Amino acid sequence: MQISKSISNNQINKSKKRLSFIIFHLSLIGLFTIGLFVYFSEAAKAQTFSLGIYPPLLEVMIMPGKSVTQDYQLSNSGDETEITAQIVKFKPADELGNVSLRGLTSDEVRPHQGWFSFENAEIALGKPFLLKTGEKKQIILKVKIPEETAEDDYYFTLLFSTQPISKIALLGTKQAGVIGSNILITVSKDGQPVKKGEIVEFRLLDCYFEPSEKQGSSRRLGSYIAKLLPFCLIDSFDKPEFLLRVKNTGRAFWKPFGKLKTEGLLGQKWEQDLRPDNILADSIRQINLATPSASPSFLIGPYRASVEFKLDEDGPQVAAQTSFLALPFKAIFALLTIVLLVVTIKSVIKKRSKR
Amino acid sequence: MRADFKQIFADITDKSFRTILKLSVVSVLICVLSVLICAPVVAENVSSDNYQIQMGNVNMGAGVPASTSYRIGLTGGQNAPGLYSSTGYRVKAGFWYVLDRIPFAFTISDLTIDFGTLTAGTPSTQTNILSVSAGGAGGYQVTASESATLATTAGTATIPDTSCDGGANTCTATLAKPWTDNTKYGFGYNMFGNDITTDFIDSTYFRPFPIGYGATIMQNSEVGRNRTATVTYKINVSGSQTAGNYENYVIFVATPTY
Repeated sequence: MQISKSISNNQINKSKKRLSFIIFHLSLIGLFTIGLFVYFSEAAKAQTFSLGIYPPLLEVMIMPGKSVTQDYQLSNSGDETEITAQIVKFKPADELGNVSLRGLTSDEVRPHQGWFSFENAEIALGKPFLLKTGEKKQIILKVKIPEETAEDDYYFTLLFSTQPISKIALLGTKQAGVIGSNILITVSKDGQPVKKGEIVEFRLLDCYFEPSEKQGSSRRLGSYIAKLLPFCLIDSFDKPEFLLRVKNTGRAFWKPFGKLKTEGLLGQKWEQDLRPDNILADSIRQINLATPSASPSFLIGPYRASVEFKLDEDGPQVAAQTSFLALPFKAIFALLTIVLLVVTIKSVIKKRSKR
Repeated sequence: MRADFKQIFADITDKSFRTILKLSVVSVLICVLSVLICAPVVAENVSSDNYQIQMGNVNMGAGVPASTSYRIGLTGGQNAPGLYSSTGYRVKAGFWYVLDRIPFAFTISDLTIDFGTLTAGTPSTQTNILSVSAGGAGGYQVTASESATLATTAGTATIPDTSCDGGANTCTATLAKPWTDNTKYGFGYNMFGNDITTDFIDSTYFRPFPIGYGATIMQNSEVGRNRTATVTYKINVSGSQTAGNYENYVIFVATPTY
């Protein structure tokens, strides 16, 4: 009886061990399945690109043969990714300060690459480096100008780009993000490059009876009236807005430092600062105003607007002016309409009362 | 046998068995919890802390702000005569008139656009979001281009870039036109949101991606923060399109103004 109980206990122990073994392995399989699920859900989730760079603009005036370093802060708010640094030349894309990059595709020539290097050991032009999620990296760019470099302006964009995810097969498109920071370099032996510039166009926008090349009888009439009028006409309730296009006729970039002043015959006057945007060599740029218009809400009579600025703070001065006439067109039109309406109604009533 | 198992379960207080069971349950619980917790953390990547002030090596002098957004009439740190000849350089970082020293930031919400399985003559669309913060810059632009037309890995078959509805409504890489005709096949995109180019009049206007150079898709000459636009990718294939995976690369380049 005792023997049989001992055998039974042995069997129980064996079965217990077997069951615990099964449960343990089932748990391992469960863990492995969850791990796989986590891995594949990671792969399937949206990969995000999010880079930030400071400063967005670097201006350097430098002697041939000299070098200078500049710290950049590169931050990654997206997923961990490999970043590649590149330097490409740019030229103005338009009159608004946008860049047209040259040499972005690999088969295009990238001149002056030897001018640039990084003080960080792990970073080199065209060599990918890892940037983790939330990481902020200090990148030290060194610019060394060769001794034989001609005195001139050279414009570049420092680019940081990601590579598209190549592992996933799909029917669609894989994407890469690129962020840039512009570098304007003036190579000058004495630090006093000749600054030249002119105002290409200065006029009031949205004039009534504007000269126009567009088709249409009303536009043709407007153009005809505009030729007869010595200045632009605006409504008394409109805010005058100006177009100022400035050209750099020299070989070094500069900024306009000055004001736009408007003065009326009745003593109304106001002024606005020009936004000191960079005007690159041999290019035209539309100048924005740094401060909002402080013009009165009602304008009446003739006005004279003048713009005056220096090419950088210490450069030559450039000026231009334009005139306009402000009249309450809309109010007069509304008043005339009301008068006409009243006269018509009165005459109709008179006629009816006579009958 | 039944008695054996009854005995086993009755004897569940056994130490080693209970430890293994506990460990298994705890491990599974940890994994489930980590899956649940990890998911929202990943999703938060889209909202970035781009507005944190970061100082570069700004070699500029101090100045008096003229307004809350701009500062005018600053003098650079090394403008004095003589300094240039001794140092050999003069450096200014950042914009003269921008008060905030915040990074120029660019975000793409999703780097893979997968259309899945397509039905001939039934257009399929996918979207992602582009965001730009140009708070520390004077303005910005975003350009887009593609590596090549959508093609199979072997390159034996391609899906052409869209011409939109054709005729008067033929779109180009820089001019969006309506694409509503389901018998017109190809691959293109539409833009909706802040600072998009004016040719994207509504959601029916599409353009093909240019190859080799970037076409401007977002632009603003003013200081702006969190400017977002949705890119809608559209694909429509004919019944004679060879089956398979087609793909290409689209490159978005964000640059500040100078």
